[in-house]
Amino acid sequence: MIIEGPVVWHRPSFIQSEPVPAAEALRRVARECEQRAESAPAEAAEMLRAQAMMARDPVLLDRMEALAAAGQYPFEVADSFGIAHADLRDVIERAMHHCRGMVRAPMPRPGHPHVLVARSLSATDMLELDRGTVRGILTIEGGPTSHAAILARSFGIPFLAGYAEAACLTDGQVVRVEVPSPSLRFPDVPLLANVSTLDDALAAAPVADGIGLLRTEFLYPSLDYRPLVAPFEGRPVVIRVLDLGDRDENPLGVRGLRYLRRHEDMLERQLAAIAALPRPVSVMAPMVATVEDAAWFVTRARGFGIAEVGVMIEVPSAALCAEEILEVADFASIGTNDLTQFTFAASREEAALASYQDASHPAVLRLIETAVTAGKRRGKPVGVCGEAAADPAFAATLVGLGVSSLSLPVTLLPRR
Amino acid sequence: MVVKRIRLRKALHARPAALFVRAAIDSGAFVMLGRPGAAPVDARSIVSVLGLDIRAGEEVELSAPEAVLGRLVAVLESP
Repeated sequence: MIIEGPVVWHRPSFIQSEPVPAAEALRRVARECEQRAESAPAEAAEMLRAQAMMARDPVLLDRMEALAAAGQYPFEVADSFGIAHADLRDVIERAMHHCRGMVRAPMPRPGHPHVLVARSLSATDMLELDRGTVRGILTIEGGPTSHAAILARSFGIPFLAGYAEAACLTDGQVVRVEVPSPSLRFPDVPLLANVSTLDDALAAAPVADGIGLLRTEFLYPSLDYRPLVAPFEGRPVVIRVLDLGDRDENPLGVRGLRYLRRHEDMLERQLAAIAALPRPVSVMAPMVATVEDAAWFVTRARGFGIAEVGVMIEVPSAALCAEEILEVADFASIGTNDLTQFTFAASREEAALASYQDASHPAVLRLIETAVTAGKRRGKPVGVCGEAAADPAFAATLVGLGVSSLSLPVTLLPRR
Repeated sequence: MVVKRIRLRKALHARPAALFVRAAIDSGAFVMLGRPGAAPVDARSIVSVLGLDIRAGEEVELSAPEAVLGRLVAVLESP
């Protein structure tokens, strides 16, 4: 795909206007949200209506007025609630701008076809776009899985994020940039969905070739997977048994299969429920580290008559021993998020170490390649599940390495 | 007022919270939501409900007149 046209920069700025009291500021924010919701895609519209409801909540007005009277910045309202809720914070910040007599300058509407260039764009910016005239978007920061990129995809607008060269572009200059094909669909590589809830399953059914990862933790204590599996008749479904952990939530602690080995009755109840489903499905275990782990799980699952039994490859030791593991297991699914954090020994919860969360680093790629090659040698499929596969360039690399399927969060699946 | 204890399968994030609060407002009744043993909040305030920060799998207590309780429970339990 090619982005071509005259550059129009969007540089966020504020216009001075009349300061207004908190009540009026919140009313304005509510109206802005409601107006935007009218023309937004369904998912964004729901979010905007929730934000309008926050802006119209008398409790918020009381707090803002009380803090303004005490001479505090309304900004601290969000903290005073003891929550770091991004949508609520956004409402408060926008209301505060109105209180101070500052209004954000709107997105440019030059009235002719153009290429929009910005340092970064928020979801709110995207909803203000003049979709009729934007031929493409280039941002210096951001990535293919940002909110803005996902919305651009849903609008059908070519979007290139992380394009540092954009910094040198000037208004009016005509650019021509080739965007790597955004297609995540490769011949013979099924595009599956990661599903955690019934909503996910219903949203995925029209666009996915099956379920590559059905997480059961969020449904627990329910063990009834029938409603989630039903919409995928005739397509593969892989259910992952519970990935729960002991209280400390240490990712290197007693969790996943390690936890289930200490709570075997829990696993058995779940396997019985899965075996009783009206159609055959595959099961797999999280946090498998050794061949012995894999063999333990495969024996239990087979005991319930489940035919296809696999393992997650998230621990580097499992990737390195994939050949032996695939001697006992029927398939493997590489979880790129955990594999990456364990490879670099860098927690993905730790913002200061975010630069290590790079699944396309050669260290991670070598582990993936080892596992995929083992699968080929054993004649067993090895797929990938994780957000990283939503990056078309990375997905192409994975397919090049020979992965058998890609499984993505529902929100990142391209429409058919 | 009837108090009903429910284990939530989903976290009360912005969108599910908005659906629940909308139902509470539309019921025309005084409805409260909270954790068992803790002070409940006005369920008609989305800001207060979000402030509870309810996660998936947690137990909550819903207090509402009997006539509207069933409908509100259904909204909370919808997946």
